[in-house]
Amino acid sequence: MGAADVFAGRVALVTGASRGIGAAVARRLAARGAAVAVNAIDGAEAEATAAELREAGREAAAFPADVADPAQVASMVRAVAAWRGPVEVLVNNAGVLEMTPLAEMPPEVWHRVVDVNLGGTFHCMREVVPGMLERGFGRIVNVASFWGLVGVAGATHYGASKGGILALTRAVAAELGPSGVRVAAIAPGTVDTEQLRADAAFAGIALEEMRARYAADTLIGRIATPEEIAGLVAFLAGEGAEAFHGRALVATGGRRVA
Amino acid sequence: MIAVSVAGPVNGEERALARALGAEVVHAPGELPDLLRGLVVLPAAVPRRPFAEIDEALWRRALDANLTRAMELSRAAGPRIAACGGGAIVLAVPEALTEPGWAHLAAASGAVAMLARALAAELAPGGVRVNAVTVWPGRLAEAVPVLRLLLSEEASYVVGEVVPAADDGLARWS
Repeated sequence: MGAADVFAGRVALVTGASRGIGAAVARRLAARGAAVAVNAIDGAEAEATAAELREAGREAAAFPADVADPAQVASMVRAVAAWRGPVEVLVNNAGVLEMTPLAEMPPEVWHRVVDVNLGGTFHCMREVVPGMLERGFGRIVNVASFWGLVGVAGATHYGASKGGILALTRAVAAELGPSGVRVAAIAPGTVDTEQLRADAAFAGIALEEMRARYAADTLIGRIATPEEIAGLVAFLAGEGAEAFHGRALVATGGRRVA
Repeated sequence: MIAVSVAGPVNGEERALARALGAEVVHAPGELPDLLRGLVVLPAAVPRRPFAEIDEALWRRALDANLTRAMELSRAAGPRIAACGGGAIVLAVPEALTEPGWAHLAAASGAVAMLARALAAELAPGGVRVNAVTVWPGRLAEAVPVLRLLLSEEASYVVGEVVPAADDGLARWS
């Protein structure tokens, strides 16, 4: 913390940062002195988070883009560099999920989930990694999911995309080696975000019942807060997390089945 | 207080690790204080030996000094930590034991890791988070940041996992 904080003065790009885990990560990195580029697909929502951070005395700006589109990602990364300098910390958090059983899944739904979650993670890394390697410093955290490790009905596309992020993280780490550019993943269990509403609708139950059902799946009896996950993302992006290069930190509140 | 358990006479890097964590070194469950917020159990060294030459005594020593010791320390520490309002137990096991000559230690370490998962379920209601970490013997200093994280409230949602606390070569710094 303080003057020696690794994030102080760094440029951090957080995708999907208008709400949920992404917004919590943006707040956490900004509070530790990073200039935060707030990405969301919706410009007004990205600006709302950026404005909140600026009102708190932090440095932040909105960079709307659909991370599934490589051209939009390229221009977003250029715009961030023009704003405050090249991206030094990248948190690939943008993700979508529309619960759909495999047998009823239109190919477009499959492609959208994989294109945003896995494709977006690839496109953003592809854009920032060359500059990070040139400068010999970079921190990347990819937000995967526990659902990328276990099977969840209705989430075949999501599970495949998140499992893909875990493998992608591993392979990118092997390429980066000891370059000073590190990449890690986090695999959270259920987090208290707006996604819960969609999950409840898919299950045909009330929001509170959905929350209780997820909580009962954990050993500590509750779902995670976005802030809890953001703290772990900051750890992975910070100093002392070399052990996680290419690996995932799993944070589930305790699994009932190992 | 945080306690770091060592199996034999404390060596230099174990002492340095305890100091970095602001912890006391303990050898036996009886030395654990009542006011306890965290426990780290470090692995016990055993001699490397080809599987065919591991006799009953060495096999038992590997299991007793690692698995049984971790069980006894956790059993003593769990209620103390719960009575203090919660905290964490971290069971450390050596990384990368799939080399010839480590069958006894690998089996004991696998059991310690699984013990952590099972204890996590039993101790979670008391606010005691249990995890295992993998460390490189001889490079314990590298494990300090991850141990610090797991002992802290920052890791409130990390429960019952086997967490890497030593890089596996991909991120080796010069």
